[in-house]
Amino acid sequence: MSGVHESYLHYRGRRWLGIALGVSAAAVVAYALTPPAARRGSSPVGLVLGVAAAALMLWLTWLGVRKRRYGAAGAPLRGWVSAHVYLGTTLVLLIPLHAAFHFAANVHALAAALAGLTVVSGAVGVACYAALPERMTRNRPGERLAALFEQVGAVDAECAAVAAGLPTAVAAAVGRSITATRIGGGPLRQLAGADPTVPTRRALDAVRSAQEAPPDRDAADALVRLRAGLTTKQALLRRIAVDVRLKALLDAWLVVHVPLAVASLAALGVHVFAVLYYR
Amino acid sequence: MRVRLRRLTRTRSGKPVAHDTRLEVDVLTIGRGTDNALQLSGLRVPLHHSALIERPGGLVLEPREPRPLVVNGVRTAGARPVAPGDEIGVGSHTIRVLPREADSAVALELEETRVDGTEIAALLARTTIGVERGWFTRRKLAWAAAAAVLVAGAWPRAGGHATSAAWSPGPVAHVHAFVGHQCATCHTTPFAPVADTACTACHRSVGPHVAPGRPVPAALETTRCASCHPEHRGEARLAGDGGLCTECHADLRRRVADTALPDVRGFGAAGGHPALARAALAGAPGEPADLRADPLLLRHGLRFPHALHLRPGLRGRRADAAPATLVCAGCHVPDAGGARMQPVRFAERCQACHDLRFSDDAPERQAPHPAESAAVEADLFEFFAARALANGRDADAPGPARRRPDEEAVEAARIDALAWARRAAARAREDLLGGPGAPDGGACATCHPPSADGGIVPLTLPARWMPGATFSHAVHRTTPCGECHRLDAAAGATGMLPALDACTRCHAPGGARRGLDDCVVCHAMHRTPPAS
Repeated sequence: MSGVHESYLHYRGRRWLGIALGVSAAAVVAYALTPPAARRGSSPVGLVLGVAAAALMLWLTWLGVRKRRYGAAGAPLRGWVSAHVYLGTTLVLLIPLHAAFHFAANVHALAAALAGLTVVSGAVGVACYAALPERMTRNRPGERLAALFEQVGAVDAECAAVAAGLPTAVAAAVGRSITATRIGGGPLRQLAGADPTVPTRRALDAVRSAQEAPPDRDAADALVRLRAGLTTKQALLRRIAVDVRLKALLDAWLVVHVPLAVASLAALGVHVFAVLYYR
Repeated sequence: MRVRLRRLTRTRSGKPVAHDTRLEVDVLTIGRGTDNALQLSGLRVPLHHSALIERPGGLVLEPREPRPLVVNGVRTAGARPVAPGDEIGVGSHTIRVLPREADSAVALELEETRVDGTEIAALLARTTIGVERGWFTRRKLAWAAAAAVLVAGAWPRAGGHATSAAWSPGPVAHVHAFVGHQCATCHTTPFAPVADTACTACHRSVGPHVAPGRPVPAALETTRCASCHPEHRGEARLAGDGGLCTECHADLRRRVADTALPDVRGFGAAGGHPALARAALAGAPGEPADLRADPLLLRHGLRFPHALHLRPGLRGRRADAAPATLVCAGCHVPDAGGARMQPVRFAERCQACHDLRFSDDAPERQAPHPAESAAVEADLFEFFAARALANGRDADAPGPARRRPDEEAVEAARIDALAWARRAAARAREDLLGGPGAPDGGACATCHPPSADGGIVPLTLPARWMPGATFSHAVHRTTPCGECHRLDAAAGATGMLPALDACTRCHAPGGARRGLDDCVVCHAMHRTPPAS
């Protein structure tokens, strides 16, 4: 991965992966060296692990601030994201070791569960960023999404003009394909990849049935042109729908990840209050 | 014919950009088909729209399909001439005829009429892209989730029921298990740490750490019960010292200037623990605490040479006693708890060899023990008075009158008898306790040094020999007595009480038994207040 682009996962020869593995190994060794009867969050090793995990959680959340500071000094954002991903994953180990694997239905386990879910949602994000951008490029090579919309608009205008002189059934179907086409929608519709081509497909059906008995030569010619136009539009809409869905997937995990992270911090606050102060 | 074609495109802001191309054709055919000299795109452009032909009279536009041409916005059927300034409409394209070039080439300007944008605008109006919509935004969800967690977290206490396990970070110690999930039993004030009063409500007899009247160090004043007794840790000990004691006691004088307590830095380290404060000074107030200076004998008022008593084939002071070999357990019997030894009672353990007879006429009659000197005298007088009154005086005793056994003593005779009895009792007391006639003391003095007032030195045996610490004989029952109670020291100052090295032989770090760095193994943090 040398050369033009270096993924955040490979930042500086996977330096943060090494550090994360080192931290994990140290935590496991410290835990293993604690006598089994003394393994709990309040033991010296447990406290060190807990403070480390809490500090890590605060630092991980700081990425949300750092990424908005363009041109900030220090390591590039890519390095921050690399450390965020690798160190964040160690929470999955640090927290159970801190708790000595004791979990029950209480606010303390809630903090651990929320932190765990945050890591899982982050892993989904890593997977999304690994797979989706390539698919987006394949779907829309070198084109802006706006260009696709412009093409659809142009096809719509042409189809409207061509269909003007055709029988009502066809003209109405083409008109609906223009006015009833909806792209995107609510978050769930976008993520599900809702199909925006239905009105266009109906218009194509109408054109096909009209072609079986064209009233005259001009109309036949217009129907051929309409069919070509509607097919082009259908292909354009499919590409737009794919693009919308991939973009939604690329964004949606963060809308889950960030609130989970904030909720983890709130639960961490409750945990620390109940354990250290409220006793 | 030569044609210079200028294609006009417009930037986003509407600024025109021209691209010039030159063509060399006989006839400029126009249409959507690829066989046209000027190919235009768009569904409304016919495959073969028209042809621009150079005639001697000028340019002529000829239709290639039987449909009307649109020139200057006017539909015309058939061929027609065009001149500079004319605009030919082809689908969404407009071809403007410009004045000829200097080299007489035909100049045309081609511009595609932009889609007017209404379709795109309408499509965009029906388009919703971006997942962060409504409540599904990072910020709103984050606030909502954090608020939900805080509310859920506060609910167990704020709800007022306080019977939830939702806050419990772990099970309570089994001694507190009866509390169950009744949080409010100890957590009396919501969102505040457990107050000491919650502990002392049950633990009423727990005394303070510092003796009454002594200054309380500031560090102790702010220390809550829960600081040292953390709960919700299951069966983990409620109180270990964890180095808490030596925080102050390693250098106590810095906090309490006039303390008499020696510094303690731990148990294992050499010199870390001071000599054991053995043999309580109860009964010897004001004397120095260093027991290595004084024989214990002087302190508790008892002469008891262990070395002598453990000789094999020992013969007692009693003539009729058989020789015996004493062992420790013969006299020292553990109490019910096993931790301490029962007090050694004279009647049970000593009297078999050391009798307290005071009259050869009645060898079975023993002086009372233990007893005050006055009580002994009273007892002896009672004995001799009864003898005298029964006319059983000693042969050498002077008597005023003889009488018949059935004859009642007259008053004078009675007074005389009692006077004799008083003398006899005093003589017997002197035999026992010592006196002018027996300067070395009598039978009592075997064990009890005579006091200046004619009695014995009061006995001040302490109830506990190491009042500052607890020691369990039961825990150490497999260890032979002599391991700690060294007989060779018996004649010395410390009696047979073990010194520190008796403990460190086994309990030093790396020793045979566990280290004793946790002070509370032997020492109690809290003083037991005097029973009220």
